[in-house]
Amino acid sequence: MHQILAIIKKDILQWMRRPLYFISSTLLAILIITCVGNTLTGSNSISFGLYDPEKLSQLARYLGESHRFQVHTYGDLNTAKKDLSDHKIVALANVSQDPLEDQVQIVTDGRNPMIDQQISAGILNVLTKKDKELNLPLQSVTLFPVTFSLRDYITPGLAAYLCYVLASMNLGFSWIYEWMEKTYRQIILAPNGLRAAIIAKTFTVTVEASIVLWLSLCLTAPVAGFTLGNNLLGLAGFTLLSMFCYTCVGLGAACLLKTIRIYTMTVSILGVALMFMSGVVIPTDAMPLWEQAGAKAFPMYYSADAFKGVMLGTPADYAHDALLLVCWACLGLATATILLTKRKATL
Amino acid sequence: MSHVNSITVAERIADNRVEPTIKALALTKLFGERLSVDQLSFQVFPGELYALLGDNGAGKTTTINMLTTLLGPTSGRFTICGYDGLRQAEKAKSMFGVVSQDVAIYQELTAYENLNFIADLYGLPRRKAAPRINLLLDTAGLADRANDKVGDFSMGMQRKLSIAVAILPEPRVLFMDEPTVGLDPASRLQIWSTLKELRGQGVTILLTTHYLEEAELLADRIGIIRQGRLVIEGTIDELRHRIESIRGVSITLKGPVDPDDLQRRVARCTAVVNARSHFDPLRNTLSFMQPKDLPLTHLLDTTLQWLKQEKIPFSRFTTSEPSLEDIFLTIVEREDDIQISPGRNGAE
Repeated sequence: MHQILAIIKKDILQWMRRPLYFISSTLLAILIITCVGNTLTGSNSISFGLYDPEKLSQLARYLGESHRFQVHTYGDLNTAKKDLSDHKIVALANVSQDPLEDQVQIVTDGRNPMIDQQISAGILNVLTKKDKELNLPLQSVTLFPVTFSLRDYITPGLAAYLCYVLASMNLGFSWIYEWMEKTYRQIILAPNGLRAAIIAKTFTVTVEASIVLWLSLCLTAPVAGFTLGNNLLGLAGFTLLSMFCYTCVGLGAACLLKTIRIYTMTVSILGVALMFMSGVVIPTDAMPLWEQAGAKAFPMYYSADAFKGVMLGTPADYAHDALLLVCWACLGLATATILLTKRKATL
Repeated sequence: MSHVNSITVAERIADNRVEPTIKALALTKLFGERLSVDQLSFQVFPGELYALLGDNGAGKTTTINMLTTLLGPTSGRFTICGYDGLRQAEKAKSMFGVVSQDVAIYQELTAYENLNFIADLYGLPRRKAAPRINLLLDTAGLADRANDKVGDFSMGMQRKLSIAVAILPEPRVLFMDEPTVGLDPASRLQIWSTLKELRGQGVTILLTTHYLEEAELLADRIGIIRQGRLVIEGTIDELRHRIESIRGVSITLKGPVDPDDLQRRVARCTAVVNARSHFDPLRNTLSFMQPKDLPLTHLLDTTLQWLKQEKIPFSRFTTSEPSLEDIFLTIVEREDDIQISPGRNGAE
């Protein structure tokens, strides 16, 4: 026990002596939550042109009220089309001025399918909300009452992703740094040092990374406008559990990969893939079946599910999520213990 | 070398009732197909400083790593203070400290914090740890830098601190892997002084080194390892006796010398052909060892006559006891030609 406490004390002391590292990892987390979150949520104030000189439609009002579009009205169609080709506007609604024709043509550049999709989604959103005013035979309703926005929905997935990123980074510094500096030998040459190191460092990395995530979420929530939910205890618990899982998995990976360069490269590439595969960005329901199976093979899926549950109140199988996270943690620890025991001098 | 200590150690070695502190039995290490350590057997007795000499890649560090449980041997076994290094590794670890070749100190922590960490790691009670830490810092000459970050220390200071770290838990055995490499002469002298003190306190020390003067000055016994095998071991006197030579001869030549031409001329000298010669181009010195069966007067006559015949100008002609360097070079260069008397080594 004294050895575990000694290593924890030493690691915390080192962590506090690296304030730049703490600041940069917090900034990284804030950056991901705000920038990635905003990007995934979709743009606001998209520059949108409207040609309706006779004001036959009420599109200007409805599109403007949605805050998704910043409407520029044109008196001349050719000028509007020129601005579209010059990218001064992203799309153009050409309302037919023939009173016998009930037609609105949405014109886009055509060379950016992502923009086209954003425009379509935005317009559909406006139309389904304004169906009564516009007298449209198209409605959008939900089966369950929804109390959160798209921004709120994205954040728990990002939090799960950040658990992976922060745990991996902290682990890299905690373990691989010691290997590189050879100070690791001091610990394993002490009686029962290896066992104490595994326990102590797993604990410190879990706690350090969790503090960074909580701090980032608390600082960003009021600015970016997302909710942390009412279940703060659950949020804290699953943060710790997810961090613990990724710390153990990361330790196993570090023992396999050994050098900081290969470790960070592998962790980064894998992180990007997992981010898109695990329901962090796109719900797994919207993915092909094979991808859904792949998502459920990795722990990020379960931590994203748990985070959505505690932050949004959506149904989540907490016991199942926790079990899978613990299983992955055990797998990582077992791998690390075997490899560390075998390769003491070469690390 | 402490004469009194040597006698005490020699007595211990001769006394079969004294159990060795370190006992290695046929230690072997294979890295894939490469044999790094080959059936290495030796013993180190209580209070002895045993120096393991060898070229780069001879297997010294691999041997230290096996004895300190960092590396598992392919075969063989070893004991530290009676504990089996393989089956009782954790108990064996509590008996020794290690000063490795690389300075393994936490750079962001202060000197005091580094030592305090080790004290906590080894479970030293606080009331005992604090005075011991202060004593070690004082002995290492780091008392006034106790609260400075180690990252700001010179290499010599870090090396002294790493020795303090290794001896903080008062180990009975100390493994030191080239502890003075890269240090200036003053720092090296300070560390030698510390090692002598430790040896005087009864700590058993196994030291690997490149520096022959270090081994000559400090070691009670020396083992020379080559290609993973212990080729010869003993005190310096024993080593001299075992290589069948009694005297080193050194001739400092004047002017530039063509080494190939010199070798051809050396072949014509009967005194030298019976002993292997060695030309050092840096010091412009030809040296060889006089075999035991050749009287000194005959050696002097023959050699001077040869120098005169070959018209080789020289500025200095000296005879001396074969140095450790002579012995080492003799062994590592041409082992086959060495007549090594069978001596007591660690093999059972």
